[in-house]
Amino acid sequence: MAQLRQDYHKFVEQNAEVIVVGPEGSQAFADYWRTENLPFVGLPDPSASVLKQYGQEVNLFKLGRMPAQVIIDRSGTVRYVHYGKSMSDIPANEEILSLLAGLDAPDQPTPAHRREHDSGQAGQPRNRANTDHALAGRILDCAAC
Amino acid sequence: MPKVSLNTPAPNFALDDFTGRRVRLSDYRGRKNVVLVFNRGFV
Repeated sequence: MAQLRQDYHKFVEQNAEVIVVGPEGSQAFADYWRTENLPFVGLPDPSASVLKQYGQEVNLFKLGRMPAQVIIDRSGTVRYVHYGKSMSDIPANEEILSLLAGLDAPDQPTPAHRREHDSGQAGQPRNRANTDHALAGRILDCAAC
Repeated sequence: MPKVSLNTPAPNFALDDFTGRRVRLSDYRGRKNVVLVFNRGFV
C-alpha cells in the first residue's frame, strides 16, 4: 500500500483512479488511511460482495485472501487481471503504469473505431452487387437449360 | 470461483467508501481508467 502511495501522482498523471477494496470494516479503513495518509479511494467490503464478483482467491491453508489487481479502461472493459498466488505476489507499479500508458496511446485506435472505418468503405456494396449479378446469371443459365 | 476475463465488461459494483460516499465503478466510465486493488489486509 505504501508502494502505491509513493507513485500515486504517476497514476494521476495517467488519468487513472486507484481503488482499494478490502474485507475490513469502514473504521479499520478510516484508521489505516489516516495513519498512512493514503490518497486513493478505500472501499470496505465486509460482506465480500465485490471480492466474490471478481473472484479474489482464498487460500484455505493460509486462511486469507490473495491480493489481486484489475485494470479497467474508460469504456468499462477489463484490460489486465492479476491474481496473486501468495501474499507478496503483487505486480510492480511500473508494470501497471506502463499498461495504463498503453491504454491511452493515441496511435492505438480502439477496435470499435477501426470497425466503423472499414464499414464506411465503398467496397462492400460493390461486392454485394457483384454477387447478386453472379446469382442472377446462374439463374438465367438454369432457365436456359 | 468465477474470475473476470480480459477484454470483457468489468462487473459493475456500488459500495460506500469509509467516509460514507457511494462509489460505483460506472462513475468512472468515459472519464478515468481504474486500477482496482484487492487488498489482503492491512499489515
